[in-house]
Amino acid sequence: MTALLELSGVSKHFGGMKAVDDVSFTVRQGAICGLIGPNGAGKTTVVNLISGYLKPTAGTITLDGTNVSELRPHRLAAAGVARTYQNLQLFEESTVLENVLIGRHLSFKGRRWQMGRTRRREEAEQHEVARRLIDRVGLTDVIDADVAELSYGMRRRVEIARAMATEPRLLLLDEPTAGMNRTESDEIGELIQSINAEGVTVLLVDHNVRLVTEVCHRVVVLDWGRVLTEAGPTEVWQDERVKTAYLGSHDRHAVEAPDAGR
Amino acid sequence: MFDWLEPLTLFRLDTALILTLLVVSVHVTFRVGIMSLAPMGFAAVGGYTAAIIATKTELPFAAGLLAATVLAGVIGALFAPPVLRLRGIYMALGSLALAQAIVVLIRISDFTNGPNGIAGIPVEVKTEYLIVALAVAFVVLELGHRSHFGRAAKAVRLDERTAEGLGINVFRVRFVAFTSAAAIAGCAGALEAHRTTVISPDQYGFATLVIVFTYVLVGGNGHWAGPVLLTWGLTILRDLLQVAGSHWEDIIYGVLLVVVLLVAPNGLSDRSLYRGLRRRLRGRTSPTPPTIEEPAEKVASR
Repeated sequence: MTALLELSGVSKHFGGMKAVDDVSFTVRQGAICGLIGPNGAGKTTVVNLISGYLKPTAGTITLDGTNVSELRPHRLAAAGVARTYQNLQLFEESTVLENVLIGRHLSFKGRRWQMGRTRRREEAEQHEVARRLIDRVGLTDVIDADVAELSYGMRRRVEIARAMATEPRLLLLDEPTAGMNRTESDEIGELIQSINAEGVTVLLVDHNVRLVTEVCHRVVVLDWGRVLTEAGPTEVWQDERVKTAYLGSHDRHAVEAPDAGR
Repeated sequence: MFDWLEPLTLFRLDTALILTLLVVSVHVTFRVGIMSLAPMGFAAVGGYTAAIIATKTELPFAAGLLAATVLAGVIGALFAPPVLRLRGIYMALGSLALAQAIVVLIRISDFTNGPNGIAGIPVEVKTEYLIVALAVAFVVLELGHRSHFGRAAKAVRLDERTAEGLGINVFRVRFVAFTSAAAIAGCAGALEAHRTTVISPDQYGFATLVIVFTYVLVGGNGHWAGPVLLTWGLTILRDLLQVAGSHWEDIIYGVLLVVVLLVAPNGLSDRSLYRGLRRRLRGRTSPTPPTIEEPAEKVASR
């Protein structure tokens, strides 16, 4: 299979701080790739680089053979990259449906000022797509509720539905199960797998060992802004360097045995 | 059509309608999260363009009005790139500086007759014209509000970074809003010039802007009708209480602004303000309001 996303020699320096330093890895078309590492390893910086929020200091990011290193976020969204955020970034005072509809922005075919029947038909079609996505993440019952009224786990799912609304080829999930209990994170795991089954390539950043082991095909480990290793989801935990990296950090709970959950 | 009204009432009506046009202009920028203090600069461009065309050429009023609107829009488009790079208070100051530069240029230039301004502008504005101009503005605003462009505008205002990540071209949305707001302000300035017959650089100062901002902020940016209805309501209230021009006017506005910002920091047309009310109404029509619980089994069964 071919590589959908390729990072080669990507660095991001903030002044003297090398947040990401010479990182290279590829994500194959149709895969679920895990990106793990202790706190401060540079995972979110990598996600911000891929989604265009940051420009790399050096190196290139290639999406399906095209260099996308310099593109702005909205251009990357149009190129098929969608993401969720570590600290939820939903439109709080809007309803679940409105949030997902904003994600449909790119898919509106018509002109801006179209009116009458064409506009109504297109609105109806887009509402239907949004409804299906919301149903898919299990939020049909609260479709018209303001996001601010929802629980944390439900809001994470709104974010996933909104990202899926842009019809991405590559979905970047930045800690989608942070703060969730075991049942909730298992549900997210199933959701990720079902999204992947439709052909969406996923880059999953998470601390949840159980989730990463169960859903990922490949795992990239970052430490101090560099790639420590890349391996299969079970082998990766056998690696001494990975154990040291985690045990040497503050994030000890992350290396509990896979079945301990969170 | 409005001849039966007393001249003073008619004058007040026209004042309120032109003010509404300025309110609409500022609302358009607020709608996409632009804090611009430039509208009076664009109104000056519009007013002087119309005045110069009317007094120095033979062109009809309509041509002057169109030229004023277009020129203000073009200058808005030129100002947009630098202003839209700024954020928050810096954007407000940057836009104010550019707008005041226009007013200063008008004051020192002989072409615009310097600080003395231009007199003898023919009275061309009828109340009917103002109503038509406003009606057009309202239709365009409502279409924008209902279209996906309106949704994108709201997303840009609430969180531009997230909007960007969802494929919305934030700069383009803001550019369109800023430029149209400039054109609307220019149109308002031209209409004002043709109503008062005399314009001078001093009238494009802070005083009017403060009133317009009060209406727009208190009216809220949930829907254009908020600021517009507030403008009309307060104008009527002011005339009923007969406080126009006295210090009571400023006191009432000040108190109102403070009270509203305490009760409804996002203005009166903010949806979350009515959430409680909506829920109560919903509860009355359906005995069991929709429950908000984790539908865990739904996800699991998929």
